[in-house]
Amino acid sequence: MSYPTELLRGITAKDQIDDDEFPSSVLFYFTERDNLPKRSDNNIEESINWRDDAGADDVLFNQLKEDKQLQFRFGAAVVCRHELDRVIQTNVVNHQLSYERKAIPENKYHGNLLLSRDVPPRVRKKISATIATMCVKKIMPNPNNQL
Amino acid sequence: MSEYQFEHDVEPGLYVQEDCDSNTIYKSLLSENYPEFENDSFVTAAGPVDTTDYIKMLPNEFNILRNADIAKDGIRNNSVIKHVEIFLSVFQRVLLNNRNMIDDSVYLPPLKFKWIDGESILIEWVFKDFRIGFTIESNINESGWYLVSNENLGEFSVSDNLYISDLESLLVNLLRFVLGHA
Repeated sequence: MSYPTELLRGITAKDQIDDDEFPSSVLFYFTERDNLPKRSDNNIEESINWRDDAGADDVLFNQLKEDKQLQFRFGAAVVCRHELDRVIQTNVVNHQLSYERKAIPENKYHGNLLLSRDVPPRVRKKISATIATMCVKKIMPNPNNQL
Repeated sequence: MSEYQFEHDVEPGLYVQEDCDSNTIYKSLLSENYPEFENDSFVTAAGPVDTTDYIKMLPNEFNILRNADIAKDGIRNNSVIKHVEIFLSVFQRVLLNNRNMIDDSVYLPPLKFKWIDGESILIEWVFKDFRIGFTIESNINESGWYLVSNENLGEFSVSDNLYISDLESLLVNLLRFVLGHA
């Protein structure tokens, strides 16, 4: 499986970035959701878009919620896959973080960051902080957000 | 005081490998990188924890608790809130005791508070090249802290459990680090 050098993590809430446009760790926190079936590989998933081409940005920034509002009105974090690979190999993460492509009908760029359910909550938060600190290249505003 | 202590529960093996010598790391950071600060210049003061009015007492110029509003999401986990209030009052005391060390030119961003899954609070202090986080868990034994930096500061990663009994000295050391790198 080939992957591009960058991926996008959509920003759904204002408190996922601060006033200086540094991402909060919560942007990369892995949440167990009761409404999703458990994966057979014992991982928790968080959606991303693989930045294969400019279409990845367009799809993400045009994605709508059920109420027809922009899903990612606060933009997206551009994550460097090379840095993510380095984080995955650190002792604290120890390969319990990974990623995948998982295209869906309305989004061919869709994928997931994956984290083992076995990772304790406190360590999950540190891994989220590590991604936010070491892997984010920049925050992109959503050009479609008129607010 | 004892009811407010976080239990000591060091995680074994896998997850502490990179963090196992956190005391050495931050003591090393302090001793080697902060010649301008004498260790004795930073003040700690053991004593009873006062949980009252922890926000209003801080002078504006370093009121990093200005955004502290832990109940704003409408979530009430009284055990977590109680421990966050203790954390904040200790932090406030550290700031007040060391206010003379805080240069006017240093910008101290506010702490950010975020409920996670309605059961724990992440308190984060985010700077350009590093971030400090404190996690107050509903299972208080799992509470912890971390300091993570990017490549500009050597990509180091330190974390440990959070013990109220050691909190003041931890916060003094972290404040010293912040003032050296903010």
